[in-house]
Amino acid sequence: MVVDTLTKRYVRALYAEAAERAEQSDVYAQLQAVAEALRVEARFLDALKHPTLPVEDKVAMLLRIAGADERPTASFKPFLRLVLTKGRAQVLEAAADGFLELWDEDRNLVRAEVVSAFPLSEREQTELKQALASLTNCSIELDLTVDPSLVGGMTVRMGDRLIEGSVRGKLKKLSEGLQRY
Amino acid sequence: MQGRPDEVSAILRDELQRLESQVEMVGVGTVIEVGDGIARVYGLADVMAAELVEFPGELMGIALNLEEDNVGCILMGPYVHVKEGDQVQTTGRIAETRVGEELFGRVVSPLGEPLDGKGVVVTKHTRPLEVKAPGVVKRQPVKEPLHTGIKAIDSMIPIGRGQRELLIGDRQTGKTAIAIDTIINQRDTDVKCIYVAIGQKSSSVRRTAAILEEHGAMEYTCVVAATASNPAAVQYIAPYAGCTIGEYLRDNGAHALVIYDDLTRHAKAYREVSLLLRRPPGREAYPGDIFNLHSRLLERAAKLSEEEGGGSLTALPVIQTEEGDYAAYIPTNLISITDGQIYLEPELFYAGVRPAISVGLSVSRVGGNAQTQMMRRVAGRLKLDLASYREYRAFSQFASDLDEETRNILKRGDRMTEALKQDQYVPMAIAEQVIVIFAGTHGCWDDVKLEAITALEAELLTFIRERYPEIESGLRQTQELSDEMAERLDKAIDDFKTKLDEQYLEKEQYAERPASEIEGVE
Repeated sequence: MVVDTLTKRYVRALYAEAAERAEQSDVYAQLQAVAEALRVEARFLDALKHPTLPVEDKVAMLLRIAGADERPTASFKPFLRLVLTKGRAQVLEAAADGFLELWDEDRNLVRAEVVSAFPLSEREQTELKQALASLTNCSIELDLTVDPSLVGGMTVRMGDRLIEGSVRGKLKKLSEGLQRY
Repeated sequence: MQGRPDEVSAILRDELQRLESQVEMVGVGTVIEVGDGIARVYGLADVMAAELVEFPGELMGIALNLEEDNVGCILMGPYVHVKEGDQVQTTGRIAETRVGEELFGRVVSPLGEPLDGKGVVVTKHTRPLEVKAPGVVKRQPVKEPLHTGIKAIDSMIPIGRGQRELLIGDRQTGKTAIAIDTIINQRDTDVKCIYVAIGQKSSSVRRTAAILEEHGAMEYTCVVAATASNPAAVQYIAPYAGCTIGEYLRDNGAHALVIYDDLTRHAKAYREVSLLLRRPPGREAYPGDIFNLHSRLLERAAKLSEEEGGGSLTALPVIQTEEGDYAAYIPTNLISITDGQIYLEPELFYAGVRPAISVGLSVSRVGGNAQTQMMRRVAGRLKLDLASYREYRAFSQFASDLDEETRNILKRGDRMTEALKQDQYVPMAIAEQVIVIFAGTHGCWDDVKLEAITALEAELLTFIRERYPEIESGLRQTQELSDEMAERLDKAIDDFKTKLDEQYLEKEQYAERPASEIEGVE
């Protein structure tokens, strides 16, 4: 999901707090639960934006959804309260993704979206991880998809950069090159 | 595809070799908004300003707005298939176009795509669209003429190689006609021509190309067309594409002429794109950098120093005024940027003075420096004659009450104006122009009927070519009018006059009328 500037600001504040208490994992899980709820129920966001419902009631509702009782965190509740008091409930839609981005950056972790023509074996996955790790100097987590239309090879997308290594891509470059003649 | 079979294999092998070694990394982004010819893209973290980016379906765009959380791109073609969520790739190339000799004789789009059905244009080189103009040290003053073949211009508003001369006037006053005649006149010169059509009807561009073809001009001309059905983004880059093609010649010691027809539409296209990109509007809703839009384009027309190869790029931008308002925003911008203007007036046009050039309002800031000596010599007299004529023209109603000197000024002015008229598509060689203007300023037509002058001009030229051929060839070779040559020309003209039929001569037009012809006198 596209993380807009506004969400980024709120999430940056939340992450600073969560990191200090080393509770990122729990906070992320809670954010994910909230995001999922918003995604599933279209009217949920309207309810959160409703001006006459008291903020504390909304916060309590969100905490229940997030399962805060099982995994208490110190930073989550104040975050919810702040967001709702400022009337920025929409921030909660992309907050989980934004939080993850910051957390990955902090851990020096890069998520690579890999699309390959054929499924990759365990060994191939490990090799790929190592290659990418040395390329980026970060630890890598792979997100694998299979798409036969690539014909062969794979594409790897990391953030805003794409490595085009598929046969389909090469065929395209070939046809472009030939057009010059 | 042309070429022999073994060439094709060689090409394929080349390409395959290049591909094998490469696995490349490109920058990517996601479309978050698309419409009205622009797209907003999320991501593209490493994109450069004005970089070419590729959308699905091989649609190209240019990244113009590099904002905090998105990149605003203008789209260079139909974009109906682009949706939110589509992937966008960087290309690593700043906006560029194809350049080279291969483009001449062709009609292309600003991106180098063929529009004349003659197949893909294959060039060896490309160049970026936006480059800084050559600095002061790399230039030299404009000193060689660029002849339009139009008598009024080459004599009184002369253009030189490396100059920027503005063609300005209301619609349908002959601006494009002058441009086309100039192109046709370059046929036996080393000047290559580029005609950039911005926002015109496709049928107009087609007609222009046909006319150029008919007069043998197409082989050294490249037509860059961004017609009205093209997105504003494509119309925006069209003049820069034409300029880039001309620059390639300039930088390689050759000479080129580029015509921007017209920059009024270009300004409007840029305004459209800027407003859609939400850039702040200024005066008349034009963006704040509308001046720079044109100044950076026109500064690239220059005459380079000998160390840089001595090449040149001459520019003839065209601007359309509304109701003669040359003090409007865009016209005044262009007037201040260019090295002079040729001002065309509808009143003159409808009075039959064609080309409808206002000698009073038109100017060439390069002037005589770009003229050959022979033309400079005859043009001086011409300018004076016409200047006096303009001053006294208001009194022409009372011609019978005026003194002889004034009457003569009016007579000469009428005749020179008639002598400067010219048909379309018949540009005149400079030596012939000198002969004709010399004749006029030395009184050859003073006693001739006005309506006969055009025909007699042609007869005079034929006469001199047949009876006194050494005059024209002498002028053409030396490009000078010596005193001796002037005397010979004078005699030749006198000879022509003696053999002239009585019917062409005018009885004294402004003579005193006998009292019996004035009403109310016994």
